[in-house]
Amino acid sequence: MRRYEPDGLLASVLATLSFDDTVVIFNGPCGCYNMVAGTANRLIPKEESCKVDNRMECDFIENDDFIMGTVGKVDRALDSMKDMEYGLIAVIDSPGVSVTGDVNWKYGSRNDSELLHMESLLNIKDFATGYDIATSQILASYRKERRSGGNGPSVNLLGCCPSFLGWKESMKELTSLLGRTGISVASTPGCGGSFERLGDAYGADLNVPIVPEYCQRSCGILSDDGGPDTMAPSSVPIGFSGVSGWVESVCDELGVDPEPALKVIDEKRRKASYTIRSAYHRDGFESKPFTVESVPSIDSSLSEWLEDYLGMIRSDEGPEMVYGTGYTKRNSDDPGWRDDTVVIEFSLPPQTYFIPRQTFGCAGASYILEETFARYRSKPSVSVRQGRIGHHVRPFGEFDYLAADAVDVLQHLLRDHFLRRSHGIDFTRGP
Amino acid sequence: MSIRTTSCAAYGAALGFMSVQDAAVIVHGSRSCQNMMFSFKSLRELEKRKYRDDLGLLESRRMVCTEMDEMGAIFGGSDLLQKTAQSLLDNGWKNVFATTTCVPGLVGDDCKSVARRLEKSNPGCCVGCVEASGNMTGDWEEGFNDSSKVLAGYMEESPEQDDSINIIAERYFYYFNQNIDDRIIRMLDDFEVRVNCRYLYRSTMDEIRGFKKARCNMPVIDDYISDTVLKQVSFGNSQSILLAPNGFDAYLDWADEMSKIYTPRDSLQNTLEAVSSAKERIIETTDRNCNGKTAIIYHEETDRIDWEVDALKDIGMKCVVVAKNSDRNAVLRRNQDVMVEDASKVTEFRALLKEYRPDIIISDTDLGTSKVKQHYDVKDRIVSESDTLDIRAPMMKQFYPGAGIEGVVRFLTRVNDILGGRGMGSWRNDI
Repeated sequence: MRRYEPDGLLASVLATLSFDDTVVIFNGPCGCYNMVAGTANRLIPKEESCKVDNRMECDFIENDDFIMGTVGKVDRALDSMKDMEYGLIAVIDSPGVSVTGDVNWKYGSRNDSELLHMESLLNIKDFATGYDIATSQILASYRKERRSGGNGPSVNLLGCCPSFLGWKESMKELTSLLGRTGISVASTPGCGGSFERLGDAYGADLNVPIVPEYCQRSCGILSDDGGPDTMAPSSVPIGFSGVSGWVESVCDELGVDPEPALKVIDEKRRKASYTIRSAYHRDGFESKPFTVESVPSIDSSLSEWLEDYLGMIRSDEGPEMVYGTGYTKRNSDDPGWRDDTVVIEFSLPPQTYFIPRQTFGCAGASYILEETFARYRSKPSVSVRQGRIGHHVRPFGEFDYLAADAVDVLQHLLRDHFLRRSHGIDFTRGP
Repeated sequence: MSIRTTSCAAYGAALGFMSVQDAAVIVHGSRSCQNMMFSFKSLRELEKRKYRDDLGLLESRRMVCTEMDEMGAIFGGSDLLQKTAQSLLDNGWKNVFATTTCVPGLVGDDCKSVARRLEKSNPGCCVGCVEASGNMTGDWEEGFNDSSKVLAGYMEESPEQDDSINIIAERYFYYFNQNIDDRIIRMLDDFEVRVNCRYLYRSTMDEIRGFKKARCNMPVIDDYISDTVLKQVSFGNSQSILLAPNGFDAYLDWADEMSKIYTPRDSLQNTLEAVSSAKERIIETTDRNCNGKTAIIYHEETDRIDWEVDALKDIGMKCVVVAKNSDRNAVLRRNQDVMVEDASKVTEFRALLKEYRPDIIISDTDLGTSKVKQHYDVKDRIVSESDTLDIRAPMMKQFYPGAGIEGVVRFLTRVNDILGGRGMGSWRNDI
C-alpha cells in the first residue's frame, strides 16, 4: 500500500489564509472546495478578525465550464467580493481546472497588486513544497511600501505552517523568547500577520527559518528582492534542545547574548525533568524504539532530542512510538510497524483542543512529553489486538506508585533475608 | 459562505465501491483528488475507532490513485488506469472498481472499455468503472447511484429464494457506531431470518452475487438515493420490499408485514409489547411540556421526514413543515394532512415564524441560534445541527434516527427537555 500524504493544494490554501487579510477564490467544483475548506476551517482559528468561512469563496465550476473556460465565473466571484476589505485575493485552481490551462484572464478593472493567480498544479507537489511556493508567490506579489528597520536587531520568522498544531501559540512563544534577548520580530510571512504589513519584512536584519523545508523559496525571494539575508539555524525549535539550539543560532548570527532566553528554556526543562522523576520514571521508556515521520529537519531535531533527553532509541524497524506530521495515524497499518505502535501526531489531521497545544517551543516540548507518556501508558494490550474487549492500563496515580514502592521494599527485604540465610551475609551491619 | 456537505460524483462512486469489503478502488485522476477523498473518509473512520486495530484495515486504505499529471492530461490516462488496475489484479485483488475525476472526463478517457478489456483478460475477476468525471456528471448522489448500478450488474439470477433478507444502503458516508450498527440486526432476531447482504454498507462480492437469493429487500433510509438504488437492484425480480421502521407505529406495521414474509419467533410478542409501552411512557413523560405545542420543521437537505412528523404528532404537537418548493410528496409520503409551507427565501421563513409563533424549530441546517434570534424573539428554542443530538452525526446529510424506536425516543426526549427549559447550553449565547 502506498503512503497517503497531504499535498500542495491544501498547503497553498493554508499559506494564503495564514495572512489575516487575504481572501481565496477557489476556482473549482464544490466537491473539491468543501474538502479543502473543511480542513482549512479547522486549522485556521475562527476569531472575529479571521473567519475562513468569509475568506474563502468558490466559483462552483461544473460541466461545460471545464470546456468553455472559467473566466466568467471567477469574474463573478470577484464581483461578490467587491465590498470586502482585503489585502490580496489569491485565485487557487482545483486539480481539474489546473490542467485546462485557463490562465488568460482579463480583470481590466482590478488592481494587479490585489490579485494573485496561484501557480497551477500545486496539487502534484508535496505539502511542504506547495506551502513554500504559495508563500513565495504571495511575497513576490507584494508591491507596496517597504519599510526600513527600527531600533535594535529584528528578524523575520518563516516556515511555521498552520498545519502544525498550535501554530499561532508557537509563533507567540518563539517571538517572546527572542524578545527576551532584545530581538524583535518584524514580520512572519506565511505564519500569521497581515499582507498589508508585509513591507516590514524588508527592514529586518535576518530571515530565520523555523522549518527550513517550508520556507526555502520564500526566504530566497525576500533576500533577492532587497530583503535581509537568510540564516541556517542549527536546529528546528522542537524539543528543549532544539529550541535552545535555535535561539543560540539566531543570537550568534546577530551578535546578541542568548542567556535570558536560555534561562527560561532551562527552567522549563528542569520542570519537565522533575515531573518525569516524580511520576513517569517507572514507565520504562528509556531504550524504547521510536521513529519520526516528517521533513528531514524536524526528523533530525526531534530524534536528537528524544534520544538525548528521554534515552529512547531511533529505529525504523518495529518502533513502539511514531511521531508524525502528516497522515501518520491513517498510514499506521503499514507492515513495518508493530501491532501496538503508538502514533503521536502534531500536525494534520486538524485537531481541536480547549487548552492550547503546540508543536514548537518549550510548551511544544512539554506537549510531546505529555502525549508520549499518556499515550504510552494507555496503549492497547495484546487482548485488544486479538479483538477482545478491554485494554491494559499501566499503573497510574499516586496509590499505584505507593504500591509499587511497597513491592520494591518487600523484594529488597526478601533478598536480604535469602542472602543472610544462604550465605551468612548480614547487610544490616556495616563493613 | 457556509461549508456545504456536497461532494462530487467521483467521491460518491468511490464511497459506493468502498462498501465492498474485498474490493480495491481506483481513483483515476490527480493525486490531489484521492488525497481529499482519503482525508475525509479516513478522518471519520479514525474517529470511530479507539485503537488503530479496532476495525482492521481502514476502508479508505483500499483506495489507489492513478496519479494523473500534465502528461496524462495531454496524452490521455487510459494506460495509467489499465496499468494500475492490472497491478492490483496481479497482486491478488479479485475485485477492482474505478471512478474517474474531472481530468479524465475532460480529456475523454474511455475507462469503461479499459474495465471491460481487463475483465475479459482476467477471468474470474470483477473490474467495473463509473465514469463520474469528477462533478461533471453531478454531485455525490449520482456517483453513489452509479456505483450501485455497476454492482447490481454482478447480481446473479436465483431460481429460488430462501429465508434471508437484504438490508440496503444503511448509510452512505461512514459507519454508524457499533450500537446503532447492531440495532437493525437485533430487530431481525424476532423472525426466522438471516441477513444475506448489507448492500452498499458492508458486503462482499460473493454476497452481492447472491443478492437475489433473499426473499425481501429492506431499504433503511427513505430518500431519493435509496429509491434509486432499490429500483436498480429490484428490477425484474420478485423480491418483496419493506422499508425499515423509524418510530412506534411504523415498527408495529413493519412487524406485521414481516410476519407475513418470515416466520415470527415467540420473542416478537414481547418486543411488540415493549414498543407499545415505550410509546405510552414517552407520551406520558412529554405530556406537560409538549402537548399542544407547535413545531416548525425546516430541513434543507433531508429528503423525507415522515418519521419526525409521526413522532411529534404522537406526543400531541402541531407540525408545520417548511419546504423550499411546495412539492408535498418530496418531503411527506404518509402525513398528507400536515401543513407544508413554501419558504425559498429568508424573508419568507421569517414571515412564517411570525405567523405560526412556533415553540420549537427543528432543522438539519445550522440555523445558528443567533441568526434566528436576531429576527425572532419568541422562546428561542431550536433543535439544529449544532445540537449534540446523537441521532445526527455532524457530517451526515440525513437527519435520521436509525432503524427501530431508540432513535425516535431519544429525539422526543430531547424535544421534551428543550421545551421544558433544559438541555440548551448557554455557550450558544456567545456565538
